[in-house]
Amino acid sequence: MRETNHEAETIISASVKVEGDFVSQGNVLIEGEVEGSIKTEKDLRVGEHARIAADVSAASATVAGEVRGNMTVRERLQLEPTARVFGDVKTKDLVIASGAVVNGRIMMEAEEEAAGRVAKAVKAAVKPAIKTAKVEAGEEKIEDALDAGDAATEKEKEGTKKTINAFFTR
Amino acid sequence: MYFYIYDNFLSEKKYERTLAAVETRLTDLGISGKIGRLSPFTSAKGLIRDEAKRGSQTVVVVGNDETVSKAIEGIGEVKVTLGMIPIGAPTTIARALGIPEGVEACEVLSKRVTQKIDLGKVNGKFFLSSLRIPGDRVVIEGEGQYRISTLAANCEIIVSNLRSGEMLEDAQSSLRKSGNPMDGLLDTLITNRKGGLLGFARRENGGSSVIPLRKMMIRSEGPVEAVADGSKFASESFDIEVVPDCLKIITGRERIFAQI
Repeated sequence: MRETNHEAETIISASVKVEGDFVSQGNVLIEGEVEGSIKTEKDLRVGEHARIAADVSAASATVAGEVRGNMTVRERLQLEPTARVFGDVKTKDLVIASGAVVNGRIMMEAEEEAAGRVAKAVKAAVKPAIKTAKVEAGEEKIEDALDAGDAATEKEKEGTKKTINAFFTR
Repeated sequence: MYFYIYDNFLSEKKYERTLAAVETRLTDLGISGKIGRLSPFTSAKGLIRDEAKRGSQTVVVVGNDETVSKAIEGIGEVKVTLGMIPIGAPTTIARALGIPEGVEACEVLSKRVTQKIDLGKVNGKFFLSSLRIPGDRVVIEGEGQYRISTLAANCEIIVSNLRSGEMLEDAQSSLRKSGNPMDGLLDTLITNRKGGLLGFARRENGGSSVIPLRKMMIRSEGPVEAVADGSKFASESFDIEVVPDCLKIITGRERIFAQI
């Protein structure tokens, strides 16, 4: 039976520097330096002496070191007392310990959901309005067509009257 | 049909008894077969190719880790099943595959429990267990997306497909569980070595990095001597990749991966 690589562990120790777009399928522990971007499908742990200058994306994360970049964490983001985050944070569940530093915008999913709901509501309201507008426009056209038809009939009638009058004059 | 490859060192007198016992047991189990002997003029690659053409479906390596390494070079390109009878030292690969030493290995062979595993490839050569490269002033390019550079001097890079021997004993517990030869990845272990007492190298546990990769390029400033499964070669650039599902191998119950 073939084993999957979902449990793969990545450890970047203090003696290593990573530059570029780092992508992992498993848990990632960073104790060293990373520049560029980090993306993992699982858990990310940033050690106390780690220095990250990268946009971070993870399922969940625990930060004890320095992160300079935007963080997108799908589930829970935990900032330890030694954590220093310089960038925007987007997460669903946030735990900030006393002493942790965050310099940036924090966006929780609830806000996103609210924004999503507003967007949906606006969409829902806009759709029928568009339909009504279309229907009204159609009716106006029909009315215009009817008016045009009536005018034509009246013109025809007037024409016929004129012909009859001319016949009797002769 | 079984084909047995005996390493050159087995002609030494001290192995006579073990070999005789092995041959008797193989006959009892009905899995005896043709024997090919390695020599300075006979390569395992050539022997395996010829026997595969003649219809041999199982190649059994009789010897140590180095014998396995010699066979792997030829077996990676031929579709045959690999078995092992570990005799001599070191036999860390066989141990990782759950194969006991000497006569007891015959029982594992006869049960014929097989696993399809990955192989590593470095500069076109196959390796089963690991590749070791001195890590001073080297840069690793991973998956063509990022660069890994070692900040400390005196580093060693171990690209591992099957964690065995020294790696298992030294590695941190978190490193120990992840490596296996069936995940389609090679684990790149970067460790710091510190000079210990009496000049023996001692490994620092805290400073190890492990990065699972499918493909990587390791470049150094000058030629360095690398060791793949026990055999040495020198180069200044190492093009490394994993070849998934490449080898069908006979394993024992005590193997360190795919345990039921």
